[in-house]
Amino acid sequence: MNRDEWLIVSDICNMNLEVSKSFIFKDFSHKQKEIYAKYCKIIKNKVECNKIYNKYKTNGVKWLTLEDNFYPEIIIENDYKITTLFYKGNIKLLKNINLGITGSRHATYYGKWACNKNIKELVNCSVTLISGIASGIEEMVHKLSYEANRPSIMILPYGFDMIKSKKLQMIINNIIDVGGLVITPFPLGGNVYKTNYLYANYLFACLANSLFVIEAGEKSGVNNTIMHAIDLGKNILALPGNVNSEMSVIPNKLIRDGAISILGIEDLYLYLFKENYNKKNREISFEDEDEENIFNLIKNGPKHIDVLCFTSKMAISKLKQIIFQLEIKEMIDEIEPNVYCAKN
Amino acid sequence: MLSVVRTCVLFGLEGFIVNVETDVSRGMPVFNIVGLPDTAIKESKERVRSAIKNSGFTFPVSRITVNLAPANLKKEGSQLDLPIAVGILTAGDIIKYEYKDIYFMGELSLDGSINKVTGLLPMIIALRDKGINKFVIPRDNVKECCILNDVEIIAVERLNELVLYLNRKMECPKVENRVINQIPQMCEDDFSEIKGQENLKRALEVAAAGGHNVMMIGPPGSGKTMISRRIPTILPKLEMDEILEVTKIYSVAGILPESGIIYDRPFRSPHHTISSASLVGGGRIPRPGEVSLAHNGVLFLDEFPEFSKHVLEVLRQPIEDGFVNIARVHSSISYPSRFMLVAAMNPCPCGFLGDSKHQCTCTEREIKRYLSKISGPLLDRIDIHIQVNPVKYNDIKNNDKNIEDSETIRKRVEKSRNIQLKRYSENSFHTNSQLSSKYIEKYCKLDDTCEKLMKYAFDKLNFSTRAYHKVLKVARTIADLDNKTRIDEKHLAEAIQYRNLDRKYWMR
Repeated sequence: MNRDEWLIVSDICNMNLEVSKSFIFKDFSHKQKEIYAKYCKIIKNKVECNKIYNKYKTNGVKWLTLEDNFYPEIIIENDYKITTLFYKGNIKLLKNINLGITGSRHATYYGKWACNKNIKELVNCSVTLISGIASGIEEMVHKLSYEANRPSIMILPYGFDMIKSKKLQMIINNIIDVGGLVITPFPLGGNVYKTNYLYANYLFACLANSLFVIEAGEKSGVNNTIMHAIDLGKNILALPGNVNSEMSVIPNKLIRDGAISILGIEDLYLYLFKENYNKKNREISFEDEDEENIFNLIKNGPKHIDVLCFTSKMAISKLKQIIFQLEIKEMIDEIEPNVYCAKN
Repeated sequence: MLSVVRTCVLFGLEGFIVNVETDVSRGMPVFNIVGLPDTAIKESKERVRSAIKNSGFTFPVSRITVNLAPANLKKEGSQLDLPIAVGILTAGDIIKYEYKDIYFMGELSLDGSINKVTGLLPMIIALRDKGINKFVIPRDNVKECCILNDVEIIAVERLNELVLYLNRKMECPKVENRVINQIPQMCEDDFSEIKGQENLKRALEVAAAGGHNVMMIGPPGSGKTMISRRIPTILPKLEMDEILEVTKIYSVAGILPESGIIYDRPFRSPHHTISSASLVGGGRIPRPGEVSLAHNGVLFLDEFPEFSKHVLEVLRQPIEDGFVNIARVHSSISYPSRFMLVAAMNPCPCGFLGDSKHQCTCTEREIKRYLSKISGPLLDRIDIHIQVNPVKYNDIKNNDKNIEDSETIRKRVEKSRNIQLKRYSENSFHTNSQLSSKYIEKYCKLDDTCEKLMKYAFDKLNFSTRAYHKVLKVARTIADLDNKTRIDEKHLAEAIQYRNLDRKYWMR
């Protein structure tokens, strides 16, 4: 079958991705035969066919089938679960070195801080980031990428016509503007079911060379992505967290089970490029003794402003000025409200 | 025979002179009151009749007409009982002497005793401003009225006592003017009870010094409510004219305490189920609402986004103008409402957004809906936004840093308020929080280094443009607390720390 025929198959099968698989071997069950009959009827009718092509053309949605060069080999190798992919943007990105980043919607300040810190360094390297659409970590990945004018890949769990959120639409537009890619296994005219996300997770696991898990709760949907990634033999990277933090349960378990733990950009760089990361050494200069004292206190680990106030025995107004100065010099960061930690 | 007795009715906080004209003439025995009286005044017929009878006088069996002049002004209030009774007794020739300069206010009981009335203090103040200085009032109201030292007050307990006095057969003891010596606040709360939260305490000190509105955002149990209850203890003590203003409002609302005078700054914390009418005031004849009751004090709104959206939006005008105009069919009244708004809220419906120890269970949409209750214009009017998060007890348990008590902080606040009063003596406003953008340019000038810092903060910390003026106002207050005439770099640095969280939460 050629590209156009595959498009019609996908469009007819709509959300039943499994059915389209049977078209490869022309081996249909009783129910699937009805769909095949429908397909045979449409393929003979030129007008109907053009209608379907035009639908995709007017929406600006392009498609990728088993016949194409760019079609991910890994899907073909693994039982053809998805036969057609729909996308907008630059499909060539699929050949780049990439890194999938996923994380919880309910990320804590720690997760967001870590994500922010690592990605800000990572966007300067030649690596494409892949992530989903969820708010929290995944949204942050795309935002940081396009803000740095770097393309990223977004996996969409429904057809392009089902994007209802204005915020998501804005993010997608920005991704495409900087030459990124938005890709989905679902055709136009579908619906949004909970099961969609499982296919999207599968596609995510297929496309990513390795998966970096930032934060995930015990029952997070991230687990599904991780499961697929492990099945497909991908490497898992994880951000260690506090053992008492609910959002770090999964990453910590992954590390226990053999995932690569990522402590900072150096680890990521070493993993991705097999080279050491050249850290730019920043000059550290203090205006006066107090500033140095406060910085030394913060250096030992995140500190609440009250604790700083008590240990340094400094007036709170003075302390706040010093903290602001340090923040401006980019020597410290506010990771949680009123909790500061040193940047390394 | 005709008699004229003078009294007063209230219209909001303003008092108007009313002449009670009584005519007793021959004819069928009827008793009419004309001149737009309300129900309470119409009912006074029965009270007056019984009170006169039970005081041992005869009620004239003739045609009695009472006119409340001016006839076009709607009158309300039970204080007209006493003047009507005095009018009838005069017309009936029981009271024989002239009393042109005396004004009567009081409600009658059936047995002839005189009951307490609400809103007496504003009436007397209004009459005093018109040059009148002799009043007959119920004895129960003495406590609230004795703070006025330039008027002569005759307090009576029974109607026959008053008749004896007017007939010069008895001398009523004159009410001693009480000198106001501020009773030390009975408030048991003190800032020194709060361990930790130095950051929040400082923010509230700045807020109190400049009269800035504050919003606190933080998870449950971080001490937002606890610290808010202690804000009145660091606010400067009420001045004499402020005491009068506050007591007037409470007198009209009829909720004066036992002592009769309000010495402490009001602290009002209405529950979030409050209606807009009870927040700003309302009713057929508008009564003062919570914003007016919090005049010169603190209005604390706990669980800010739980208030209905409509209720929050009505707050805009009172915050901006310092008074509130309430218009109803019956009348349009304005009450003062210069208060410090203190709002406390959680960052999301479940309260744990971003908390490392608990998981937030809210969806994105729930959080958005929760935060969108607070509109941009309202956020605009809140100068200091502060994030609160608790610190572990173990971390601060063993420290020997001495914790300041409320009195020490109050002294600093008072000092800085005095500086502001002096600076704004030519203007119509008194505190930094009331600076409009025109005056911000005049009073909050920045030098070059500060300007540079400000620009940097804008780029680096993602400030919204509306934050600019707020930071300047707060910096001005911090400079005043530091007793400096110029805004310094360090003042600005601290002010920026109370930066606005609107970018963080509202414009995500």
